[in-house]
Amino acid sequence: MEQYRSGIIFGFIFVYMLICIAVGLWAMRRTRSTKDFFMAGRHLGMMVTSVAVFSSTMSGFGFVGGPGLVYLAGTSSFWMVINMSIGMCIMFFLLGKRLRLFAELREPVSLPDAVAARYNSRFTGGLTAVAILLGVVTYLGVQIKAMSVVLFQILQDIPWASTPLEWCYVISCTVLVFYCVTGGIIASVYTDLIQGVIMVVAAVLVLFTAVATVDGGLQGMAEVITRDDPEAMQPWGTFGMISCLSFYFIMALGVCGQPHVITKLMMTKNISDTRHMLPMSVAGYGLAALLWISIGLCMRAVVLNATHGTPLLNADQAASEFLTYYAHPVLAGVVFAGLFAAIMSTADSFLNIGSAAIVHDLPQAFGMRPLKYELHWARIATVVIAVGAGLLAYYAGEMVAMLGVMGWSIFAIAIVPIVAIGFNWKRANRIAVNTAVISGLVCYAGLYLTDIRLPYNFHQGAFSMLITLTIFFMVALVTPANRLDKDIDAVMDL
Amino acid sequence: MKYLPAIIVLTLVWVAVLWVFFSVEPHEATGRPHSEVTFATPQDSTGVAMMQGGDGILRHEHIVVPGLLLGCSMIAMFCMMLFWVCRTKHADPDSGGYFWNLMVMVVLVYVGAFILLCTTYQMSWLEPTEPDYLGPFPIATSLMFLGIYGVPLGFVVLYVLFFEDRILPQAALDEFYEIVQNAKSNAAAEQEAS
Repeated sequence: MEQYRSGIIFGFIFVYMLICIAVGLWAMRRTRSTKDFFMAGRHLGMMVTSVAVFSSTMSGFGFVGGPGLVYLAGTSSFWMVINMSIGMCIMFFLLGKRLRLFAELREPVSLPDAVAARYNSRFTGGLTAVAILLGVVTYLGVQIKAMSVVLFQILQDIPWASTPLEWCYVISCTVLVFYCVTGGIIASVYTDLIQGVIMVVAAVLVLFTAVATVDGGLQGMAEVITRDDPEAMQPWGTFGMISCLSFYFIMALGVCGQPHVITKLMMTKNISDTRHMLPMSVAGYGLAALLWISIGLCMRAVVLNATHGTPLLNADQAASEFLTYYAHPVLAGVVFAGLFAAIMSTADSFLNIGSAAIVHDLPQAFGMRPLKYELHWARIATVVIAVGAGLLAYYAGEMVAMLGVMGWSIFAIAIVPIVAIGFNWKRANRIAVNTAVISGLVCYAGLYLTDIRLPYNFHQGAFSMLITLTIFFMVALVTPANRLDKDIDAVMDL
Repeated sequence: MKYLPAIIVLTLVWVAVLWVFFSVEPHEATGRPHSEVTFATPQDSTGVAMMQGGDGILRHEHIVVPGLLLGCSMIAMFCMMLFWVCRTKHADPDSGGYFWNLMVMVVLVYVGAFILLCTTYQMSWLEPTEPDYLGPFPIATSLMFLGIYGVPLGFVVLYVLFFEDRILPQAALDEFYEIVQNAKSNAAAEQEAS
């Protein structure tokens, strides 16, 4: 079976992509209006939405970058995973009920739409749309790049299927665009459901494989790593306490600032569904994260105890080396399908909110009338964004990866004060959110692009987030609250 | 006075951050490339592939207290947000005391787990190469999973159990549908008038 490894992996990915296309075709019949395209007609069930929430949160970074970070820095990167229990709690406590109530009251077709209604301000809605678009293009570019490079590497090993990298970009964008254009968010969330299940299955199987690879299982790995460097297996890993705590801060608070995740909270059929969505999302993410932890620890241990022939050239090879040398070909196929699932479940959500920003939110922010054939234009915008992000990823090279890393923090800095706090706090006003968000984004861009290192490697995004929250809170307290629309005022009291 | 808890927590976070920023930062406080060059940068590699932490005491001695303060104040900030949104208009008064007691208990265990994690880690400095294990990992690392990941699951349980009492009571839902109805009829009337 070993000789057919590449073929088996390719087979799994091929079948997976066919399923995505089939879901797109099925969802096309259910997409009749802009509301269906962007909000799934607010008819989603609890289970589908829960899985969509966690699978959109776990991007390709979790499947490739995560194990690599554990290989590089030991337990330090665990802080990017363990924050999810409190992070999801903050998201659901603050926004689960609130966003769904707003969705029913004002029937927004996007997050900036809800923001514009809450603050009675087209500018604030537009600012949210710009932040979303900025994060989407770069983050999406990274996802498309990751998908193309992985596909390229897999096809390289199959003589009859070997394809240039450019064609891998085309294939990746085409599949993604096909089901997003045809089925909009309905296709996106139903593929998320399939993708989430694949991710969980892959992660659990990988855990068992990793445990069986090293003598003594998880404790065996911990002992090997500790013998080499005790700090790598202690809670702060090699990066140290402050660095880990700053990850924890930005990741935990940042979850409720991820527009592609929180938009899904507005799509459920019943308001009370959020009650059971929280435990399901936390459990799903917790299981999927097993892959992050187990592959990283396993690869670090096998390299240190010389079981693995050669050390890795770079940390990001941890997942692919593990799958090549230690996983059964069928498991490798499932995990590679899981990797594509993780990438695509995030990318399709980005395409959706990005097209909403272009055809709906930005025209509204500039005071233009709603487009006549909005659904038609939304489909065109989806194609334009995917092609644009693909070209950016192909031509901008390392720069796009660098910007993509900023994505999470950009979203967190912009959306947490505007939505997570602002939708629960009547005193939050336009001046406060606009000042805080612009200051936070400028601060972060300045720190990141000029590569200023903060003491003890305190995360630049976490520092900017703290500045944003402080400015937001202070300005809101010293400036008068805006008059709210009567219905919004009443709903914020509930 | 209403905003005093938020101001205090935010101030504590800033105090901790500035304390860290003005503390002495030892060389390689945030790790160093693996001492064996074959692991750190194998031939043909473009960057550092594996890092080591080095001496835990040396790199953490100046930030033991501010680090502890930073972690505790962050946890306080997260929990304060959860407490803040649970004060709903139609909340069931009978379950109030019970709910808040449970919430406070989860917070205390959460903060306690973090402090225990920090102190256990510091105790491991005495014999770094032979740590005691709790499950498959050194005690402090297991506490990270059980305490920092596990304890907030208590909030998840409370969210599910008290959803109808504290998060979205039936009375609030009824009032909401009334608001929606009024808003719709107002909008229809406005449209008719225009």
